[in-house]
Amino acid sequence: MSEVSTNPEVSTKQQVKNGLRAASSMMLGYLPLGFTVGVIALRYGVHPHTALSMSALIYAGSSQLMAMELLYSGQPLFSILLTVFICNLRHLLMSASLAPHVRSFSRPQRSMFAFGLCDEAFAIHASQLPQRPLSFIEGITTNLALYGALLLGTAVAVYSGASEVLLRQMGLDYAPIAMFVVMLVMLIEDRLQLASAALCGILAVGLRQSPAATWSLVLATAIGATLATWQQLQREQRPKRRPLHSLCLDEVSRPQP
Amino acid sequence: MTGAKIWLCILGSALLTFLLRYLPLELLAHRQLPRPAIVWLRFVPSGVVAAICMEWMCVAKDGVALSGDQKLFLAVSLPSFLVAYFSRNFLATVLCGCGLTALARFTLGASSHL
Repeated sequence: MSEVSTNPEVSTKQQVKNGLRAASSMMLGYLPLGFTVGVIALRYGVHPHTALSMSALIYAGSSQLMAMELLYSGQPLFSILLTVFICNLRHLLMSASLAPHVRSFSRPQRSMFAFGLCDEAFAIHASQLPQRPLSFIEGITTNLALYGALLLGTAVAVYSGASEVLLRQMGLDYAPIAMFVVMLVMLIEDRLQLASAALCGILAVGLRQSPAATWSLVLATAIGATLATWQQLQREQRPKRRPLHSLCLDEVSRPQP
Repeated sequence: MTGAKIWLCILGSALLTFLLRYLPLELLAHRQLPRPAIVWLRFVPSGVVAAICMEWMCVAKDGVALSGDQKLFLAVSLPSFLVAYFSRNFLATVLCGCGLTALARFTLGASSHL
């Protein structure tokens, strides 16, 4: 790992390989999600081509499901778009947390990278960042592989006319959760993150039952992260109150001018 | 629902989703954020993944918590978490989770359906 971060001249082929390797396991969970989107579209009588375009253009599994449900229940366009906007506000937070790591990308590169920044792609990039910096080719390869998996899943479902029964019989509706379970385990580095993640999870479920249901993910994450930040900043300030420790370190490091 | 409405909905959602993913990346990339903001953003990935994960696990699409499917998911999630923690392997976790879900539905039959 350390070789990769110190040597920026990793070959393009190697970067593509790394990107595919990072995405390969996640595609396993993404195919069933695309499949689910397709199956639900068929249930609502959406034309196969339209359903596929939906996955291709919006490329956000959960909000596609939500948009279809709202369309089907006859909600006005404005309220559907508002719901999609609020539901996807979490991407604002995700994107912001990756922003410091894409400084080396050009503007078109950033926009291409941003299009593919679904929950799963974000989770992959975020879990790899502590080990090595983000490279454009590797990142975009991961994103494209996941994009392909969602499209393939949707296409198989809509053109085979699959039903939900098969999906359920094979337990595939659990696959997206299993992916998030592994990502979560990989993303948590210390106890404070564990505590904040647990809080976010519980808050999200609680808020889903409240009138602010559409805001649940954003509100839960914001509250959890804010409390954890407050705690972390408090901890960082503590050593300043114990000058003895830092003095000792200074004494040790000083006498070698 | 009309064809035009579906397409307006698709295009509108696509644009909104893209902007939400792109704007922070573009606007914050070359800015030095203050320390609290950097610390805050460090807690976002695990927090948002935990939130999504728990919602999928506990809340059905119609917003009802702990319905039949969700009870099953929650039960399956305990061994899945253990497999994920000790193996750190996607394939093993997905096979364990989906396998147990399928097995439970097969053996428990109608009682595990909605």
